[in-house]
Amino acid sequence: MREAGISRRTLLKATALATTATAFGITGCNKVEPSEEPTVSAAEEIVEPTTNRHSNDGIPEDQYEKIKTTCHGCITNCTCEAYLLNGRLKKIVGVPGCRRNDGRICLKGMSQVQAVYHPNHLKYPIKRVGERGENKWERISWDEALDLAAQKIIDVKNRYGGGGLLASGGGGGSVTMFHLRKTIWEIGFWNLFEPGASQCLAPRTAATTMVFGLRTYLSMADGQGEDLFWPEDENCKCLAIWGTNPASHQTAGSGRLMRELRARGVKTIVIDPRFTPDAARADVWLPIRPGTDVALMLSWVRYIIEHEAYDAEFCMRWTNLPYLIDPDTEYCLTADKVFEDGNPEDYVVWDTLTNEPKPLPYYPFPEDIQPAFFGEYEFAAADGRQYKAMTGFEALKRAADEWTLAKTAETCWLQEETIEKALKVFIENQVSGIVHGVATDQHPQAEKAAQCACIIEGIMGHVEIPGSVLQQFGKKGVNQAGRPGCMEMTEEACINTLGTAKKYRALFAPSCNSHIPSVLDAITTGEPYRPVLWYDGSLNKLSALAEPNKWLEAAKSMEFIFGIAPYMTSFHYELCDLVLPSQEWSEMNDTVEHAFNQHISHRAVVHIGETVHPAVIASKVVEACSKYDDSISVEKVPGLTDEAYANSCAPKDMTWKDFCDLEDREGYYEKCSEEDYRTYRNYERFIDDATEPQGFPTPTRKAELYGTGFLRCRDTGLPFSKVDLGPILGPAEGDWRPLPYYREPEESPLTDKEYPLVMTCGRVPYFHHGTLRNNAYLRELYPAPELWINPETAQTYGIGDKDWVKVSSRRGTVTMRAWVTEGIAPGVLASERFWNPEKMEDPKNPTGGWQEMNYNVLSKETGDYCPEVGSYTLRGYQVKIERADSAPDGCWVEPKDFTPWLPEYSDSTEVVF
Amino acid sequence: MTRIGFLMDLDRCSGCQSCEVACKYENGIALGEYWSKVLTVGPMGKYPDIQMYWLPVNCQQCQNAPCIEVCPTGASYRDSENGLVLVDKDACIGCKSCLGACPYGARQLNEEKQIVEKCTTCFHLDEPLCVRNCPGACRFIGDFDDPDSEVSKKLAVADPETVHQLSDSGNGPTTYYLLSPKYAQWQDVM
Repeated sequence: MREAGISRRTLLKATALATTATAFGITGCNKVEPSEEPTVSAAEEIVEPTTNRHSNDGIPEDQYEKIKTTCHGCITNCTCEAYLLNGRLKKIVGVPGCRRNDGRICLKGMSQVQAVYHPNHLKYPIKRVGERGENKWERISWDEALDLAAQKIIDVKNRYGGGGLLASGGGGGSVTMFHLRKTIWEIGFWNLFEPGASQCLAPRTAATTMVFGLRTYLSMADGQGEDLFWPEDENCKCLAIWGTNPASHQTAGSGRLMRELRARGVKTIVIDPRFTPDAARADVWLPIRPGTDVALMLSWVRYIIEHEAYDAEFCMRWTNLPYLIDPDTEYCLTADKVFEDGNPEDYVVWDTLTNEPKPLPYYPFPEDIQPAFFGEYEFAAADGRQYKAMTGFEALKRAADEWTLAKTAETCWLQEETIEKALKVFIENQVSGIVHGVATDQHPQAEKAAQCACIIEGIMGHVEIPGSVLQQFGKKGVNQAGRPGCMEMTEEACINTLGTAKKYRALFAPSCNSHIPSVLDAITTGEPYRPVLWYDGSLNKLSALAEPNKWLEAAKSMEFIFGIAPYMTSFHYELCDLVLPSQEWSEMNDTVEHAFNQHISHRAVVHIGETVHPAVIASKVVEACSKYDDSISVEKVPGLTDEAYANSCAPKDMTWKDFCDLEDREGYYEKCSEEDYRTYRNYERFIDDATEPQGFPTPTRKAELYGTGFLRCRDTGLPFSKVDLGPILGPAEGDWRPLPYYREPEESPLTDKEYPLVMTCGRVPYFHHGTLRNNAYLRELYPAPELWINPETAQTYGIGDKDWVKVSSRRGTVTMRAWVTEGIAPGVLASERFWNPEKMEDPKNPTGGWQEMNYNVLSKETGDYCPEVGSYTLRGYQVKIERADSAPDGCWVEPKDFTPWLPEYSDSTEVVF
Repeated sequence: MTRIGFLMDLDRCSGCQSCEVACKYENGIALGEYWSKVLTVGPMGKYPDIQMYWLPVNCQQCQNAPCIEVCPTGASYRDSENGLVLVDKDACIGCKSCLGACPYGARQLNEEKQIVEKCTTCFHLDEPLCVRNCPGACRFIGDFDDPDSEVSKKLAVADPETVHQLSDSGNGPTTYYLLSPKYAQWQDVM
């Protein structure tokens, strides 16, 4: 619950008053003189020393057993120590040694104590005995559970083939995301999806690969933006924090880093509808209308070109922008099409010295020609064909041309002068960069937003230079090319992947490839085939997916559904037939392979009941299936025992024990020196005996800022798909274009009279994805989703601060609690994903807890999808609101309500496998 | 003399409340009870020209502590060894006089034990967990009478315009806040 200080004693009782009553200009400073001698009040008596008085029940450091490990409360992987008393975990303390968190740890990490000893942490496998949704279960043994899962899987596989089998991953936190990706293909599954793919990582990873060929993306989270983590070098001078909220989502990681950077003078621009903590410290805040990011990005492109602020040297030498575009195919013109005996590996440019087309060899760059950046030129090819072709840069300029500051301000609900101020800060403080978050991944312009960010960074030359966001560290200077999204995936699965094979081919970029609405459609209609068994390795699919009511209805028809999870969620409550208990992160042996140049252990410190590491469970499922199907092998599974899995996590040629011993002895294991790790401008490097620099790992070896990579992915699925899909399925369907364009959201405040308010969401520091909503200390702080609402809008609807509000979209209605704040534009609302685990234990009216306060009941899985990657609309859609009298029945709000979730400490048990 | 107190760099605080949670784990505090809180101050102004900051508040270690003055049993006392304002749990009768006396509401009735408690600066540790774990590295603790302590040094180099304390009606809090006017104007919220 947000507490605003206004009067005395607010510490104990939050008041409903807001501090907005106090206007600017009131200084209120209490200047202090630190050297002033303290005075002791006459009434005070100096009494005997502490040691004789009972004023502290705290436990001194030396009474704890301390085990070095790594937090997995989110995906930041902060180094920490687990403090144990009598073998029981009591607290989590940050430890220095890794640049990621610099010894700090946030409330999500600390909350592991209440997570692992949660009364509802599943302790053994359970099988459904009542009807689905009745929440009646019986304990079964691991052998029975695995055998049941295997029998069902193989039965479905035999009857329907791989199309009958559906897997899903995701989650985050203790729910590790990778185990199903590495195991299900061997069994014969065709489909695996994660809400995070097209709605999170895929658009940005796909764009970076299609533009630069690189497997990285423009972010300071998730192990990206690594050079920024050396703030003392002071190479980066400005960051545009675009649709991300580092202070809340990786508080001790990139959130902490932002503070270091600002303290060193780094300028920041925050593009976010919410006045986030980083916005409150920014040089410029651009509170953009949700869903209009591509318009703003195109205005940046236009401004940079118009003011010639681009890096001309980089654009000329290392991008495809000077190449002429074949107007028929939209690909770049190769020399063989224009010149007699032209080399098909050379591209055609317009030489401004001779005013004629010239072939441009990759290397060396000819000194006797001056390619034009801009313009459209007419010429005849050697075979007599007449061309009218523009350069890539000209095409980009034209794509951005309509986005003047005035038009952009009108479209994005911003002020012209603020946009220009941001651009000046971005341009004048070099090296600058964009750290691009998940926000733009969550609407149908996802891929175009990601492409735009790459274009802005590309034309500015922010590519693998000291201080730039985009880097390829740790590859010894050898650029690593993008690769098929899932190496282990079978060709058969690839060709049949729902939605992705025929349309959204950039969704092969991550290894969780199926297009979510296409999966729902297949379950519902049976077209092109019907998945009837669902194997989930994430957390709460009914809170993570848009329109969970449709999923619930569709999935009820499925034959068998089972999940791996550390505790029951709405998904397990409503749909599962079998639940396999996975470990919380403090129970797992695992690893952080890429902590910069370090490889860091993540050690089990306790073990509860019969929980098993999710990777071991996934391996055991493969093993169980292999007993019924000779074609299935356990050869490549991550590990059939806890020990085997741990050993597979150690650096090469080391056992897990050796690795941990080495860490204890010498500190974190370094794969190479920092100097060798941080290699810049890899594209200029000559690898081994090469006679040419390696360039970028794209077909042209240039950064393809003009989007030929998009056309190639449309036509073939490459480089993401397992096979070239062109000869098998033809080009992808849908509106793929080589350059960005703006499209107004399908539900828009410009036209929607019935649902007049724009809705978006964003992270809060208390939770990671769907996790921790059952954590007493965290729910006490944030019991219900806060609805950000401007005072003007609130007044229109008669809503006061902390009032309950019914929020309705065309999909459904949920309840949230108002935070009336100037930190958001009039007409715009923002909230947070939520679900209510307490509803599953409501004695009066139990539910799955997904329908009361769940943001995704409102969001939209239909309609416009991103043509390249299939993203649907989780942000930037329309809602209406009205005041509600109370929280939904049975939802806990008061701190004491959460008492049933306080920890039940227990002794550690032996590992199961 | 030792004068132990916190220094909070509000330029670095994002209001994540990790300090609250750290305090609860370290001191085993019940749901609904707090020795440490983070208040949201603002946004002040009118959209989009606004400012906001966060204000972590716990016992301010007053030099003329009203809680000691009003305590009828001497349970609230100043420790002669470390100079801290503390509560002797055995001597507290739970009369709550000090709850009313504290200008900052920094004291907490422990409902189960019916005694009053508050931040002890975790003097059983080398460093309080709220300081050690603080993700933003906003919180510092030390002896303001020792010119070589980290907090004294930080205070000495701070621009006087950025240095603030909670309102002082003669009680003399020993907690300092740093807030740059470029981020937000300090507000007298408590």
